[in-house]
Amino acid sequence: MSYHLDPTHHPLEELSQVRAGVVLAPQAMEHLAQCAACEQFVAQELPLDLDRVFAGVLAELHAPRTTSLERALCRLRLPVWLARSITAAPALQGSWLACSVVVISLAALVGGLHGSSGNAVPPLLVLAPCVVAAAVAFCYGPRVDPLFELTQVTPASRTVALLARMGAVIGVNSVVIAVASGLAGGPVAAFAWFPSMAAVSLLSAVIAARTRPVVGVGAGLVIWTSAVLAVSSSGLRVTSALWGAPAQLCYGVAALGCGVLLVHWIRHERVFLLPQAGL
Amino acid sequence: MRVVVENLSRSFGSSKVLRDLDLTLEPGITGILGPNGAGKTTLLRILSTALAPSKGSIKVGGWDLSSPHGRTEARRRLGYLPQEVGYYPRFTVFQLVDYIAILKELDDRGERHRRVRTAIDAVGLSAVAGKRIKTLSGGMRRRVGIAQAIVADPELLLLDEPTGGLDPEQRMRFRQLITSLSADRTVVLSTHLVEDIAAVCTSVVVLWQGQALFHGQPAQLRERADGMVWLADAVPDSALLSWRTEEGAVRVIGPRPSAAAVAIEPTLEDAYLLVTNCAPTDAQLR
Repeated sequence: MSYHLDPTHHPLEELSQVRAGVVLAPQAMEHLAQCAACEQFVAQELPLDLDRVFAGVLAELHAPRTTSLERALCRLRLPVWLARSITAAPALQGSWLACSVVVISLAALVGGLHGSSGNAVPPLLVLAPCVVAAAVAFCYGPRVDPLFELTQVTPASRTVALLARMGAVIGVNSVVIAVASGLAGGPVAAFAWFPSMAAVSLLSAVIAARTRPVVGVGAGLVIWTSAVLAVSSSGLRVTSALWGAPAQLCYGVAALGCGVLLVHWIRHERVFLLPQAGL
Repeated sequence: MRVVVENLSRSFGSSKVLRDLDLTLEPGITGILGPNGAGKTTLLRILSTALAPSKGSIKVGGWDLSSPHGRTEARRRLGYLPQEVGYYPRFTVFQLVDYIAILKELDDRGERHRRVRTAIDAVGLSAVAGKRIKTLSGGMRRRVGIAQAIVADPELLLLDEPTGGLDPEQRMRFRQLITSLSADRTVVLSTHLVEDIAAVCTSVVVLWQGQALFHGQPAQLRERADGMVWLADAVPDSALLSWRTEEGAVRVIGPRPSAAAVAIEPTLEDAYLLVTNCAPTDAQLR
Protein backbone atom coordinates (compact mmCIF):
# COMPACT_ATOMS: atom_id res chain seq x y z
CA MET A 1 0.00 0.00 0.00
CA SER A 2 1.36 3.39 -1.02
CA TYR A 3 1.44 6.25 1.46
CA HIS A 4 2.16 9.05 -0.99
CA LEU A 5 0.19 12.10 -0.06
CA ASP A 6 -2.57 13.45 -2.18
CA PRO A 7 -5.91 14.99 -1.19
CA THR A 8 -7.85 11.73 -1.69
CA HIS A 9 -5.48 9.60 0.28
CA HIS A 10 -5.98 8.13 3.72
CA PRO A 11 -2.70 9.40 5.28
CA LEU A 12 -3.72 12.93 4.38
CA GLU A 13 -6.76 12.58 6.61
CA GLU A 14 -4.44 11.41 9.34
CA LEU A 15 -2.19 14.37 8.75
CA SER A 16 -5.09 16.76 8.87
CA GLN A 17 -5.99 15.23 12.21
CA VAL A 18 -2.58 16.23 13.46
CA ARG A 19 -3.73 19.82 13.17
CA ALA A 20 -6.64 18.94 15.43
CA GLY A 21 -4.28 17.62 18.04
CA VAL A 22 -4.53 13.93 17.23
CA VAL A 23 -1.24 12.04 17.26
CA LEU A 24 -0.08 10.92 13.82
CA ALA A 25 -0.25 7.23 12.99
CA PRO A 26 3.20 5.57 13.18
CA GLN A 27 3.11 4.32 9.58
CA ALA A 28 2.43 7.83 8.27
CA MET A 29 5.28 9.19 10.39
CA GLU A 30 7.56 6.50 9.03
CA HIS A 31 6.60 7.30 5.47
CA LEU A 32 7.17 11.03 5.99
CA ALA A 33 10.69 10.35 7.19
CA GLN A 34 11.49 8.46 3.99
CA CYS A 35 9.62 10.39 1.28
CA ALA A 36 11.00 13.79 0.31
CA ALA A 37 7.97 14.66 -1.85
CA CYS A 38 5.52 14.10 0.98
CA GLU A 39 7.74 15.91 3.43
CA GLN A 40 7.75 18.91 1.11
CA PHE A 41 3.97 18.63 0.64
CA VAL A 42 3.42 18.66 4.40
CA ALA A 43 5.75 21.61 4.87
CA GLN A 44 3.93 23.64 2.23
CA GLU A 45 0.32 22.53 2.47
CA LEU A 46 -0.14 21.35 6.03
CA PRO A 47 1.83 23.57 8.38
CA LEU A 48 1.69 21.74 11.68
CA ASP A 49 0.45 23.45 14.79
CA LEU A 50 3.07 22.11 17.16
CA ASP A 51 1.24 23.37 20.23
CA ARG A 52 -1.79 21.33 19.33
CA VAL A 53 0.32 18.31 18.46
CA PHE A 54 1.99 18.62 21.85
CA ALA A 55 -1.40 18.94 23.53
CA GLY A 56 -2.42 15.75 21.73
CA VAL A 57 0.66 13.97 23.00
CA LEU A 58 -0.06 15.18 26.52
CA ALA A 59 -3.64 13.98 26.28
CA GLU A 60 -2.42 10.53 25.29
CA LEU A 61 -0.07 10.55 28.24
CA HIS A 62 -2.84 11.57 30.63
CA ALA A 63 -5.40 9.22 29.15
CA PRO A 64 -6.60 6.68 31.70
CA ARG A 65 -4.62 3.48 31.87
CA THR A 66 -7.40 0.94 31.92
CA THR A 67 -6.99 -1.93 34.35
CA SER A 68 -6.68 -5.48 33.09
CA LEU A 69 -10.12 -6.26 34.57
CA GLU A 70 -11.66 -3.35 32.67
CA ARG A 71 -9.99 -4.45 29.44
CA ALA A 72 -11.25 -7.99 30.00
CA LEU A 73 -14.79 -6.74 30.56
CA CYS A 74 -14.62 -4.63 27.40
CA ARG A 75 -13.47 -7.73 25.50
CA LEU A 76 -16.66 -9.39 26.74
CA ARG A 77 -18.47 -6.62 24.82
CA LEU A 78 -19.56 -4.71 27.89
CA PRO A 79 -19.96 -0.97 27.23
CA VAL A 80 -17.01 1.12 28.38
CA TRP A 81 -19.08 2.94 31.02
CA LEU A 82 -20.27 -0.32 32.54
CA ALA A 83 -16.80 -1.85 32.57
CA ARG A 84 -15.44 1.21 34.36
CA SER A 85 -18.39 1.33 36.73
CA ILE A 86 -17.84 -2.30 37.72
CA THR A 87 -14.12 -1.89 38.27
CA ALA A 88 -14.79 1.20 40.40
CA ALA A 89 -17.01 -0.72 42.86
CA PRO A 90 -15.53 -0.39 46.36
CA ALA A 91 -16.14 -4.08 47.09
CA LEU A 92 -14.07 -5.05 44.05
CA GLN A 93 -10.97 -3.14 45.05
CA GLY A 94 -7.82 -5.10 45.89
CA SER A 95 -7.84 -4.42 49.62
CA TRP A 96 -11.46 -5.51 50.04
CA LEU A 97 -10.95 -8.65 47.96
CA ALA A 98 -7.81 -9.50 49.93
CA CYS A 99 -9.77 -9.33 53.19
CA SER A 100 -12.48 -11.56 51.73
CA VAL A 101 -9.92 -14.09 50.55
CA VAL A 102 -8.28 -14.18 54.00
CA VAL A 103 -11.58 -14.69 55.86
CA ILE A 104 -12.84 -17.34 53.47
CA SER A 105 -9.49 -19.15 53.42
CA LEU A 106 -9.36 -19.23 57.22
CA ALA A 107 -12.92 -20.54 57.38
CA ALA A 108 -12.10 -23.22 54.82
CA LEU A 109 -8.90 -24.12 56.69
CA VAL A 110 -10.65 -24.45 60.07
CA GLY A 111 -13.42 -26.51 58.46
CA GLY A 112 -10.85 -28.73 56.74
CA LEU A 113 -8.92 -29.32 59.98
CA HIS A 114 -12.01 -30.30 61.95
CA GLY A 115 -13.53 -32.43 59.19
CA SER A 116 -17.18 -33.53 59.28
CA SER A 117 -17.30 -34.43 62.96
CA GLY A 118 -20.80 -34.98 64.35
CA ASN A 119 -23.26 -32.11 64.17
CA ALA A 120 -20.60 -29.35 63.88
CA VAL A 121 -21.47 -26.25 61.86
CA PRO A 122 -19.15 -25.97 58.81
CA PRO A 123 -17.45 -22.55 59.20
CA LEU A 124 -17.16 -21.91 55.46
CA LEU A 125 -20.87 -22.44 54.90
CA VAL A 126 -21.73 -20.06 57.73
CA LEU A 127 -19.19 -17.38 56.85
CA ALA A 128 -19.59 -17.35 53.07
CA PRO A 129 -23.00 -15.58 53.11
CA CYS A 130 -21.69 -13.04 55.64
CA VAL A 131 -18.64 -12.12 53.55
CA VAL A 132 -20.60 -11.78 50.32
CA ALA A 133 -23.48 -9.93 51.99
CA ALA A 134 -21.05 -7.26 53.20
CA ALA A 135 -19.49 -6.97 49.74
CA VAL A 136 -22.87 -6.67 48.00
CA ALA A 137 -24.18 -4.07 50.45
CA PHE A 138 -21.01 -2.01 49.89
CA CYS A 139 -20.95 -2.13 46.11
CA TYR A 140 -23.43 0.64 45.25
CA GLY A 141 -25.14 3.65 46.78
CA PRO A 142 -24.66 7.23 47.97
CA ARG A 143 -22.85 6.27 51.16
CA VAL A 144 -20.51 3.89 49.38
CA ASP A 145 -19.62 5.45 46.05
CA PRO A 146 -17.96 8.89 46.16
CA LEU A 147 -19.10 9.61 42.61
CA PHE A 148 -22.65 8.39 43.20
CA GLU A 149 -24.35 11.79 42.94
CA LEU A 150 -22.54 12.56 39.70
CA THR A 151 -23.30 9.21 38.14
CA GLN A 152 -27.00 9.51 39.01
CA VAL A 153 -27.46 12.50 36.72
CA THR A 154 -26.07 10.74 33.65
CA PRO A 155 -28.17 8.76 31.18
CA ALA A 156 -26.40 5.54 32.18
CA SER A 157 -28.93 3.01 33.50
CA ARG A 158 -28.99 2.73 37.30
CA THR A 159 -30.56 -0.73 37.12
CA VAL A 160 -27.88 -2.06 34.81
CA ALA A 161 -25.11 -0.48 36.88
CA LEU A 162 -26.46 -1.95 40.12
CA LEU A 163 -27.06 -5.42 38.69
CA ALA A 164 -23.68 -5.46 36.98
CA ARG A 165 -21.86 -4.48 40.15
CA MET A 166 -23.79 -6.97 42.26
CA GLY A 167 -23.27 -9.69 39.70
CA ALA A 168 -19.55 -8.98 39.55
CA VAL A 169 -19.22 -8.96 43.34
CA ILE A 170 -21.16 -12.21 43.75
CA GLY A 171 -19.28 -13.78 40.84
CA VAL A 172 -15.80 -12.90 42.08
CA ASN A 173 -16.59 -13.97 45.64
CA SER A 174 -18.20 -17.18 44.40
CA VAL A 175 -14.98 -18.11 42.61
CA VAL A 176 -12.99 -17.48 45.81
CA ILE A 177 -15.42 -19.54 47.90
CA ALA A 178 -15.54 -22.36 45.33
CA VAL A 179 -11.75 -22.57 45.23
CA ALA A 180 -11.49 -22.47 49.03
CA SER A 181 -14.24 -25.05 49.39
CA GLY A 182 -12.62 -27.31 46.83
CA LEU A 183 -9.18 -27.05 48.44
CA ALA A 184 -10.58 -27.71 51.91
CA GLY A 185 -12.55 -30.74 50.67
CA GLY A 186 -15.54 -29.93 52.90
CA PRO A 187 -18.25 -32.39 53.73
CA VAL A 188 -21.07 -30.67 51.91
CA ALA A 189 -21.59 -30.66 48.15
CA ALA A 190 -19.35 -28.19 46.36
CA PHE A 191 -21.89 -25.44 45.69
CA ALA A 192 -24.23 -25.92 48.65
CA TRP A 193 -23.17 -22.54 49.94
CA PHE A 194 -24.45 -20.70 46.88
CA PRO A 195 -28.23 -20.43 47.51
CA SER A 196 -27.86 -19.37 51.16
CA MET A 197 -25.14 -16.90 50.14
CA ALA A 198 -27.36 -15.43 47.40
CA ALA A 199 -30.36 -15.15 49.73
CA VAL A 200 -28.49 -13.47 52.60
CA SER A 201 -26.61 -11.17 50.21
CA LEU A 202 -29.71 -9.98 48.39
CA LEU A 203 -31.63 -9.57 51.65
CA SER A 204 -28.79 -7.37 52.94
CA ALA A 205 -28.77 -5.44 49.65
CA VAL A 206 -32.52 -4.77 49.86
CA ILE A 207 -32.24 -3.46 53.43
CA ALA A 208 -29.10 -1.48 52.58
CA ALA A 209 -30.85 0.13 49.61
CA ARG A 210 -33.60 1.44 51.87
CA THR A 211 -31.37 2.39 54.78
CA ARG A 212 -27.57 2.27 54.95
CA PRO A 213 -25.04 -0.41 53.94
CA VAL A 214 -24.08 -1.01 57.57
CA VAL A 215 -27.71 -1.56 58.55
CA GLY A 216 -28.19 -3.91 55.60
CA VAL A 217 -25.15 -6.00 56.47
CA GLY A 218 -26.06 -6.01 60.17
CA ALA A 219 -29.63 -7.12 59.53
CA GLY A 220 -28.53 -9.83 57.10
CA LEU A 221 -25.96 -11.20 59.51
CA VAL A 222 -28.33 -11.15 62.48
CA ILE A 223 -31.01 -13.04 60.55
CA TRP A 224 -28.54 -15.58 59.18
CA THR A 225 -26.65 -16.26 62.42
CA SER A 226 -29.93 -16.46 64.33
CA ALA A 227 -31.13 -19.14 61.91
CA VAL A 228 -27.86 -21.06 62.25
CA LEU A 229 -27.90 -20.84 66.06
CA ALA A 230 -31.54 -21.81 66.25
CA VAL A 231 -31.01 -24.91 64.12
CA SER A 232 -27.80 -25.97 65.84
CA SER A 233 -29.38 -25.68 69.29
CA SER A 234 -32.57 -27.49 68.25
CA GLY A 235 -30.95 -30.89 67.96
CA LEU A 236 -31.60 -31.16 64.23
CA ARG A 237 -28.81 -32.26 61.92
CA VAL A 238 -27.35 -28.88 60.93
CA THR A 239 -26.12 -29.60 57.41
CA SER A 240 -29.33 -31.19 56.21
CA ALA A 241 -31.56 -28.61 57.96
CA LEU A 242 -29.67 -25.58 56.69
CA TRP A 243 -28.29 -26.84 53.39
CA GLY A 244 -30.63 -29.67 52.46
CA ALA A 245 -32.89 -29.51 49.41
CA PRO A 246 -35.94 -27.89 51.12
CA ALA A 247 -33.75 -25.18 52.67
CA GLN A 248 -32.02 -24.54 49.35
CA LEU A 249 -35.40 -24.09 47.70
CA CYS A 250 -36.37 -21.52 50.34
CA TYR A 251 -33.09 -19.66 49.82
CA GLY A 252 -33.68 -19.61 46.09
CA VAL A 253 -37.17 -18.19 46.45
CA ALA A 254 -35.98 -15.59 48.97
CA ALA A 255 -33.09 -14.54 46.71
CA LEU A 256 -35.37 -14.23 43.71
CA GLY A 257 -37.93 -12.21 45.69
CA CYS A 258 -35.28 -9.83 47.03
CA GLY A 259 -33.76 -9.43 43.56
CA VAL A 260 -37.11 -8.62 41.95
CA LEU A 261 -37.95 -6.14 44.71
CA LEU A 262 -34.60 -4.41 44.37
CA VAL A 263 -34.91 -4.08 40.60
CA HIS A 264 -38.47 -2.75 40.95
CA TRP A 265 -37.38 -0.15 43.47
CA ILE A 266 -34.39 1.06 41.52
CA ARG A 267 -36.32 1.25 38.26
CA HIS A 268 -38.74 3.59 40.00
CA GLU A 269 -35.86 5.40 41.72
CA ARG A 270 -37.24 4.71 45.19
CA VAL A 271 -34.00 3.53 46.76
CA PHE A 272 -30.42 4.75 47.17
CA LEU A 273 -31.80 8.21 47.86
CA LEU A 274 -29.44 11.07 48.56
CA PRO A 275 -29.52 12.25 52.17
CA GLN A 276 -30.70 15.77 53.00
CA ALA A 277 -28.13 18.39 52.04
CA GLY A 278 -25.89 19.41 54.89
CA LEU A 279 -26.57 16.25 56.89
CA MET B 1 -33.32 25.35 27.28
CA ARG B 2 -36.32 26.37 29.36
CA VAL B 3 -36.91 24.92 32.82
CA VAL B 4 -40.42 25.12 34.27
CA VAL B 5 -40.98 24.26 37.92
CA GLU B 6 -44.56 24.11 39.19
CA ASN B 7 -45.79 23.65 42.75
CA LEU B 8 -42.54 21.94 43.77
CA SER B 9 -42.23 20.67 47.33
CA ARG B 10 -39.67 18.44 48.97
CA SER B 11 -39.64 17.11 52.50
CA PHE B 12 -37.14 15.03 54.43
CA GLY B 13 -39.17 13.40 57.18
CA SER B 14 -40.97 16.23 58.97
CA SER B 15 -38.58 18.84 57.61
CA LYS B 16 -40.07 20.74 54.67
CA VAL B 17 -37.16 22.01 52.57
CA LEU B 18 -39.02 23.32 49.49
CA ARG B 19 -42.56 24.70 49.69
CA ASP B 20 -44.82 24.97 46.63
CA LEU B 21 -42.14 26.55 44.48
CA ASP B 22 -43.03 27.97 41.05
CA LEU B 23 -40.18 29.04 38.77
CA THR B 24 -39.49 29.48 35.08
CA LEU B 25 -35.82 29.57 34.15
CA GLU B 26 -34.92 30.92 30.73
CA PRO B 27 -31.62 30.71 28.80
CA GLY B 28 -28.97 32.86 30.43
CA ILE B 29 -27.50 32.73 33.91
CA THR B 30 -29.88 32.43 36.83
CA GLY B 31 -28.48 32.78 40.31
CA ILE B 32 -30.20 31.06 43.23
CA LEU B 33 -29.39 33.22 46.20
CA GLY B 34 -30.18 32.33 49.76
CA PRO B 35 -28.77 31.67 53.19
CA ASN B 36 -27.62 28.24 54.38
CA GLY B 37 -30.61 25.91 54.68
CA ALA B 38 -32.77 27.88 52.24
CA GLY B 39 -33.17 24.83 49.97
CA LYS B 40 -30.70 25.78 47.21
CA THR B 41 -28.91 22.44 47.11
CA THR B 42 -32.16 20.48 47.28
CA LEU B 43 -33.59 22.53 44.40
CA LEU B 44 -30.50 21.91 42.25
CA ARG B 45 -30.49 18.21 43.12
CA ILE B 46 -34.11 17.95 42.01
CA LEU B 47 -33.44 19.89 38.79
CA SER B 48 -30.48 17.61 38.10
CA THR B 49 -32.69 14.50 38.62
CA ALA B 50 -30.45 13.30 41.44
CA LEU B 51 -33.39 13.66 43.83
CA ALA B 52 -37.11 13.19 43.26
CA PRO B 53 -39.55 15.86 44.43
CA SER B 54 -42.18 15.04 47.04
CA LYS B 55 -44.75 16.97 45.03
CA GLY B 56 -44.97 19.12 41.92
CA SER B 57 -43.78 18.94 38.34
CA ILE B 58 -40.60 19.94 36.50
CA LYS B 59 -40.08 20.24 32.79
CA VAL B 60 -36.57 20.57 31.42
CA GLY B 61 -36.61 21.64 27.79
CA GLY B 62 -40.07 20.13 27.48
CA TRP B 63 -39.02 16.82 29.07
CA ASP B 64 -41.16 15.91 32.05
CA LEU B 65 -38.95 14.69 34.89
CA SER B 66 -41.74 12.60 36.38
CA SER B 67 -41.33 9.98 33.61
CA PRO B 68 -38.24 7.73 33.33
CA HIS B 69 -37.88 8.60 29.64
CA GLY B 70 -38.09 12.33 30.41
CA ARG B 71 -35.43 12.01 33.10
CA THR B 72 -33.08 10.13 30.77
CA GLU B 73 -33.50 12.72 28.02
CA ALA B 74 -32.94 15.55 30.50
CA ARG B 75 -29.83 13.80 31.84
CA ARG B 76 -28.42 13.71 28.31
CA ARG B 77 -28.66 17.49 28.19
CA LEU B 78 -27.50 18.65 31.58
CA GLY B 79 -24.23 19.13 33.38
CA TYR B 80 -24.18 19.19 37.16
CA LEU B 81 -21.70 20.34 39.76
CA PRO B 82 -22.78 19.06 43.18
CA GLN B 83 -21.95 20.89 46.38
CA GLU B 84 -19.29 18.29 47.10
CA VAL B 85 -17.62 16.38 44.31
CA GLY B 86 -16.41 12.99 45.45
CA TYR B 87 -13.62 11.09 43.72
CA TYR B 88 -11.96 7.72 43.73
CA PRO B 89 -8.54 8.01 45.37
CA ARG B 90 -6.76 6.43 42.40
CA PHE B 91 -8.40 8.74 39.83
CA THR B 92 -6.44 11.48 38.10
CA VAL B 93 -8.08 14.70 36.93
CA PHE B 94 -8.23 13.35 33.40
CA GLN B 95 -9.66 10.02 34.56
CA LEU B 96 -12.51 11.59 36.51
CA VAL B 97 -13.56 13.92 33.71
CA ASP B 98 -13.17 11.07 31.22
CA TYR B 99 -15.32 8.78 33.40
CA ILE B 100 -18.16 11.30 33.48
CA ALA B 101 -17.77 11.85 29.73
CA ILE B 102 -18.15 8.09 29.21
CA LEU B 103 -21.30 8.07 31.36
CA LYS B 104 -22.59 11.00 29.28
CA GLU B 105 -22.46 8.72 26.25
CA LEU B 106 -19.38 10.20 24.58
CA ASP B 107 -18.39 6.84 23.18
CA ASP B 108 -15.82 7.81 20.56
CA ARG B 109 -12.49 7.72 22.39
CA GLY B 110 -10.72 10.34 20.27
CA GLU B 111 -13.57 12.84 20.40
CA ARG B 112 -14.10 12.17 24.09
CA HIS B 113 -10.46 12.80 24.94
CA ARG B 114 -10.52 16.01 22.90
CA ARG B 115 -13.52 17.22 24.89
CA VAL B 116 -11.96 16.17 28.18
CA ARG B 117 -8.83 18.11 27.28
CA THR B 118 -10.87 21.17 26.31
CA ALA B 119 -12.85 21.08 29.58
CA ILE B 120 -9.73 20.68 31.69
CA ASP B 121 -8.06 23.48 29.78
CA ALA B 122 -11.10 25.74 30.28
CA VAL B 123 -10.73 25.51 34.06
CA GLY B 124 -6.96 26.00 33.91
CA LEU B 125 -5.94 22.54 35.06
CA SER B 126 -4.02 21.33 32.00
CA ALA B 127 -0.78 21.27 33.95
CA VAL B 128 -2.17 18.84 36.54
CA ALA B 129 -4.36 16.71 34.26
CA GLY B 130 -2.26 13.64 35.01
CA LYS B 131 -2.17 14.17 38.77
CA ARG B 132 -4.30 12.27 41.24
CA ILE B 133 -7.18 14.36 42.56
CA LYS B 134 -6.34 13.54 46.17
CA THR B 135 -3.09 15.49 45.78
CA LEU B 136 -4.86 18.70 44.66
CA SER B 137 -6.00 21.65 46.76
CA GLY B 138 -9.68 22.27 47.54
CA GLY B 139 -9.92 25.02 44.91
CA MET B 140 -8.38 22.80 42.25
CA ARG B 141 -10.80 19.99 43.11
CA ARG B 142 -13.65 22.45 42.69
CA ARG B 143 -12.32 23.24 39.22
CA VAL B 144 -12.21 19.53 38.42
CA GLY B 145 -15.89 19.47 39.35
CA ILE B 146 -16.61 22.34 36.98
CA ALA B 147 -14.65 20.57 34.20
CA GLN B 148 -16.74 17.40 34.53
CA ALA B 149 -19.92 19.49 34.48
CA ILE B 150 -19.08 21.14 31.16
CA VAL B 151 -17.36 18.22 29.43
CA ALA B 152 -20.43 17.03 27.50
CA ASP B 153 -21.31 20.56 26.35
CA PRO B 154 -24.65 20.58 28.24
CA GLU B 155 -27.64 22.72 27.31
CA LEU B 156 -28.51 23.08 31.00
CA LEU B 157 -25.70 23.67 33.45
CA LEU B 158 -26.46 23.35 37.18
CA LEU B 159 -23.74 24.57 39.51
CA ASP B 160 -24.07 24.28 43.28
CA GLU B 161 -21.81 26.80 45.05
CA PRO B 162 -19.34 26.82 42.13
CA THR B 163 -17.04 29.49 43.50
CA GLY B 164 -16.64 27.99 46.97
CA GLY B 165 -12.95 27.52 47.66
CA LEU B 166 -11.76 29.43 44.60
CA ASP B 167 -9.22 32.21 45.00
CA PRO B 168 -10.12 35.68 43.60
CA GLU B 169 -8.26 35.13 40.33
CA GLN B 170 -9.90 31.78 39.76
CA ARG B 171 -13.27 33.24 40.68
CA MET B 172 -12.78 35.88 38.01
CA ARG B 173 -11.74 33.22 35.49
CA PHE B 174 -14.77 31.14 36.43
CA ARG B 175 -17.07 34.11 35.85
CA GLN B 176 -15.55 34.62 32.40
CA LEU B 177 -16.01 30.94 31.63
CA ILE B 178 -19.63 30.92 32.76
CA THR B 179 -20.41 34.09 30.84
CA SER B 180 -18.92 32.61 27.68
CA LEU B 181 -20.88 29.37 28.19
CA SER B 182 -24.19 31.11 28.83
CA ALA B 183 -24.57 32.50 25.32
CA ASP B 184 -26.71 29.63 24.09
CA ARG B 185 -27.66 27.68 27.19
CA THR B 186 -29.32 27.87 30.58
CA VAL B 187 -26.98 28.13 33.54
CA VAL B 188 -28.32 27.88 37.09
CA LEU B 189 -25.91 28.55 39.90
CA SER B 190 -26.62 28.54 43.59
CA THR B 191 -24.62 30.73 45.89
CA HIS B 192 -24.76 32.73 49.07
CA LEU B 193 -22.26 35.22 47.60
CA VAL B 194 -24.08 38.28 46.29
CA GLU B 195 -21.02 39.38 44.31
CA ASP B 196 -21.26 36.23 42.16
CA ILE B 197 -24.82 37.16 41.27
CA ALA B 198 -23.96 40.79 40.59
CA ALA B 199 -21.03 39.78 38.37
CA VAL B 200 -22.62 37.27 36.03
CA CYS B 201 -26.34 36.65 36.50
CA THR B 202 -29.04 37.86 34.15
CA SER B 203 -31.72 36.65 36.53
CA VAL B 204 -31.84 36.02 40.27
CA VAL B 205 -34.06 33.96 42.56
CA VAL B 206 -33.94 34.71 46.27
CA LEU B 207 -34.75 31.51 48.11
CA TRP B 208 -35.80 31.63 51.74
CA GLN B 209 -36.95 28.60 53.71
CA GLY B 210 -37.94 26.79 50.56
CA GLN B 211 -39.88 29.67 49.02
CA ALA B 212 -38.93 32.11 46.26
CA LEU B 213 -39.12 35.58 47.80
CA PHE B 214 -37.99 37.24 44.58
CA HIS B 215 -37.48 36.23 40.95
CA GLY B 216 -36.33 38.80 38.42
CA GLN B 217 -33.35 40.71 37.13
CA PRO B 218 -30.62 41.80 39.54
CA ALA B 219 -31.45 45.44 38.76
CA GLN B 220 -35.07 44.84 39.78
CA LEU B 221 -33.92 43.30 43.05
CA ARG B 222 -31.71 46.34 43.65
CA GLU B 223 -34.69 48.63 43.01
CA ARG B 224 -36.51 46.98 45.91
CA ALA B 225 -34.12 48.73 48.26
CA ASP B 226 -34.51 52.19 46.73
CA GLY B 227 -35.15 54.68 49.54
CA MET B 228 -34.43 52.07 52.17
CA VAL B 229 -30.66 52.41 52.63
CA TRP B 230 -29.18 55.25 54.70
CA LEU B 231 -26.01 56.54 56.23
CA ALA B 232 -26.55 57.73 59.81
CA ASP B 233 -24.45 58.81 62.74
CA ALA B 234 -25.75 56.31 65.26
CA VAL B 235 -27.42 52.91 65.32
CA PRO B 236 -31.21 53.54 65.25
CA ASP B 237 -33.84 51.39 66.94
CA SER B 238 -36.10 51.29 63.90
CA ALA B 239 -33.56 49.72 61.54
CA LEU B 240 -34.08 46.26 60.12
CA LEU B 241 -30.31 45.97 59.82
CA SER B 242 -27.43 48.28 60.53
CA TRP B 243 -23.68 48.09 60.75
CA ARG B 244 -20.76 50.45 61.10
CA THR B 245 -18.77 51.04 57.89
CA GLU B 246 -15.00 51.46 57.59
CA GLU B 247 -15.49 55.24 57.41
CA GLY B 248 -17.19 55.25 60.81
CA ALA B 249 -20.74 55.97 59.63
CA VAL B 250 -23.64 53.61 60.27
CA ARG B 251 -25.21 51.98 57.23
CA VAL B 252 -28.90 51.43 57.89
CA ILE B 253 -31.40 49.28 56.00
CA GLY B 254 -35.01 50.12 56.79
CA PRO B 255 -37.15 53.24 57.18
CA ARG B 256 -35.40 56.60 57.46
CA PRO B 257 -33.68 56.40 60.87
CA SER B 258 -33.42 60.15 61.54
CA ALA B 259 -33.80 63.49 59.84
CA ALA B 260 -30.03 63.76 59.51
CA ALA B 261 -29.69 60.40 57.77
CA VAL B 262 -28.60 60.52 54.12
CA ALA B 263 -30.16 58.25 51.52
CA ILE B 264 -27.60 56.30 49.50
CA GLU B 265 -27.63 54.11 46.41
CA PRO B 266 -28.46 50.55 47.46
CA THR B 267 -26.29 47.63 46.44
CA LEU B 268 -27.54 44.20 45.47
CA GLU B 269 -26.47 42.96 48.89
CA ASP B 270 -28.59 45.65 50.59
CA ALA B 271 -31.60 44.54 48.56
CA TYR B 272 -30.98 40.88 49.36
CA LEU B 273 -30.71 41.63 53.06
CA LEU B 274 -33.87 43.73 52.92
CA VAL B 275 -35.86 41.02 51.13
CA THR B 276 -34.74 38.22 53.43
CA ASN B 277 -35.23 40.26 56.59
CA CYS B 278 -38.78 41.12 55.60
CA ALA B 279 -39.51 37.46 54.84
CA PRO B 280 -42.16 35.56 56.77
CA THR B 281 -40.91 33.54 59.71
CA ASP B 282 -40.91 29.78 59.77
CA ALA B 283 -43.91 29.82 62.10
CA GLN B 284 -45.84 32.04 59.69
CA LEU B 285 -44.99 29.72 56.81
CA ARG B 286 -46.40 26.77 58.71
